[in-house]
Amino acid sequence: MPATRTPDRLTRIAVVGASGFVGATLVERLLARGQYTVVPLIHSTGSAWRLSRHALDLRTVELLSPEALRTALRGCTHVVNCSSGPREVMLRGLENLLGASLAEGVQRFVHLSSVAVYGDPPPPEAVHEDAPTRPVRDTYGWNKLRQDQLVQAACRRGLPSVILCPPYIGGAYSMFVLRVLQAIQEGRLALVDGGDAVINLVDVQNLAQAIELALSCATADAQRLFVNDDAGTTWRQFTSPLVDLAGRPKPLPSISRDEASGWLGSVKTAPSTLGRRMKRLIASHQVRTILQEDPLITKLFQLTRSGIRFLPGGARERLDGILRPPKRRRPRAVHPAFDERLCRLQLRGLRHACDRAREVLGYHPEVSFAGSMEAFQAWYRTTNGWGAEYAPLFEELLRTPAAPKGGDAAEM
Amino acid sequence: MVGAGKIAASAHLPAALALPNVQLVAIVDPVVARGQALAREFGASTRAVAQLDDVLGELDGAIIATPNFTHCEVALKCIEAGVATLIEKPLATTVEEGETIARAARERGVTVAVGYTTRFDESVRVMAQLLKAGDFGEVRRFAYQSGSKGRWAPLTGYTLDRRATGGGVVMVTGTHFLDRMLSWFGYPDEIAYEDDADGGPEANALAHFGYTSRGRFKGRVRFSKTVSLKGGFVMETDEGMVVLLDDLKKIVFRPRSQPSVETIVRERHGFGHRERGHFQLQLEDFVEAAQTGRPATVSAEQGVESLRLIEALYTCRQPMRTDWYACPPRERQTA
Repeated sequence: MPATRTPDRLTRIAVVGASGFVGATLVERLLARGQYTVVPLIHSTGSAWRLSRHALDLRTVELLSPEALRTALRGCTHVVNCSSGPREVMLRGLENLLGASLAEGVQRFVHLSSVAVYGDPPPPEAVHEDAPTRPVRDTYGWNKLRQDQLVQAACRRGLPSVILCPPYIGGAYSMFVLRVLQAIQEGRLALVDGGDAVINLVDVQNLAQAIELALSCATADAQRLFVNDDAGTTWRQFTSPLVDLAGRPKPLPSISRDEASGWLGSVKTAPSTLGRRMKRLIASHQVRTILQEDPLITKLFQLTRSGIRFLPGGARERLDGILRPPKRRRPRAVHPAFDERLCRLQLRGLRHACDRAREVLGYHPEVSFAGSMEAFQAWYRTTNGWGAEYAPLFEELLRTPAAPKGGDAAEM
Repeated sequence: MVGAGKIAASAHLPAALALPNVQLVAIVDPVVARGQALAREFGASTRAVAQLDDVLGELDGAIIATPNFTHCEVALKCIEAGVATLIEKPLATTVEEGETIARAARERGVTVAVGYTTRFDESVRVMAQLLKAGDFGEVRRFAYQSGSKGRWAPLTGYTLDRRATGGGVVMVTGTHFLDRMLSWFGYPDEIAYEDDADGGPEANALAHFGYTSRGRFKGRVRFSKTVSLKGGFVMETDEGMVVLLDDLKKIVFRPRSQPSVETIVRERHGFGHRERGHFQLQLEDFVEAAQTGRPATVSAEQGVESLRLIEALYTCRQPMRTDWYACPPRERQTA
């Protein structure tokens, strides 16, 4: 069954990563238009329930398989890449997708990048897209930057492409807004200087609108375009309706910019050296599992472990440290009461301007900040809320701690 | 073992191989290579065949772990051959199919069990006992929720096709709680229901139940495949609050008269079955039922009752709100 209610359209759009937050929103939007044939491509059926309720023909495709991608893209005129995943999928998968798009004569490729390509925190010049990109190697931002470069190279090889660069994404289904709400519910959100800083946010419908515009805009030169809500909303304005939704008292706790900087400055991350990464790889669960398939190695390992017990203290600890997989040390903040990441975001002090998107795409966000927050609240109340009558029962459920993980899942 | 998919690999096969009085004869799957791979994975010297007919004459029992829409046909074939049958939940996709299976089993005198594994959990059994005895006091209302962002993905992906599953989240995962609810409280007198289906399987559902003939209480139940929710059951009685989280590890009772007190309720000599797991206990029960002729703990009739409730819910379905951006764009601009 084709994924459209009007199957004889000329524009055939493949949405890669269709089951994700942006992908699903885009597919629903494009189908509602009724003027496109939409081909939603998903990685796993397990996470595709939001789309499957529309009785769509969802096709599973493996981004690491060039042949499967060529088959999936056959006949598609446009491709939107909303996919995500581990580094290999992000890079080799995208290379495959671009190769298949070129081979299948795709007319337009729209790629979702991220403001993370500018680094964390981004430099002050990242108000505009031409700012220097300097993400830390091997981070999400670094992989997204490599992706941008792959798209730009494909564009030079003849694939007209648009790169959209959203910040955090809000609206119905937003995991970012949900995270902020949960931090408020748990008393872990502090506003820096009372929440005066501007938040970079785009409603998912506005992003989908920008993608739709990018499918047909005149310029497709793979230059990055910021896509923002363009509202200049502050953190105080952003969190105010969420505080009401969480039923928490106002105002939220506030810390000064100096206090926040001092706190976050004290959080040190150990540099990831080659030696550390090799040690982590060798001692990883996967490698150990493979090694332990050999009964000889398993026996040797058990003998070594039991022999260690008889060694003197210092030697025992050293050997024990080698045999155990090294734990990833999460940097511990000295201010554990507050969400470190959300505090860090407030210190950025910059707003990405979407003048270029306005010029190139004709983008004017159709959902206001208030509309975006209303949509999130409507979604949250419908999917999470219990109403006043059952709220006391829900509270009881939330305050009952779950048992430690392990054993069979109770339900499958 | 009929079906070499995910549930067979992760639950039924390990359970079957762990029981000394069960001999695994064959793995039946149209994709023979899948059955062969499973046998290799578990180190079992078991045949892999494409057709059930090839081995039906050699079997005392069959575990049916195939997509829902195939349950009826496969089960009838087994029952006709006098083979006891454990059918992965739900029993079938419709009440009509379920009744056909139950009737055939009765007429042939063949054991049929339905795979509602959580019923073999100690806390679920204890809850049933205490509710029956009225030990928690008079029930006033209850609530239940479970939600995950997808996760379980069968090899064939059939759960995304409403015709193949017979429904959506209610049929695929919600049916476990509905089975427990039926075993604890019986069939409800009043129901109301809404979900977000748009021609396909619903991803979110909200049901309201009213009990008027056995006490007067009501309940609200939510299932989701798009939202992660802390899963569990809460019941308010005139004595206090009772909580059973979805990990089914413990029943917590918070008495109304002592707000600072919390009691963990369990069998005095409990947790003895923990190491055997739900699927193994279920299989033990099925084997014993087949050998002795006693009814299985979850019988075909109970499987039909679950289907009857699900069908009743779908019949009175109201659409759930999904138009989060309901205001026209211009109004939203100025909101």
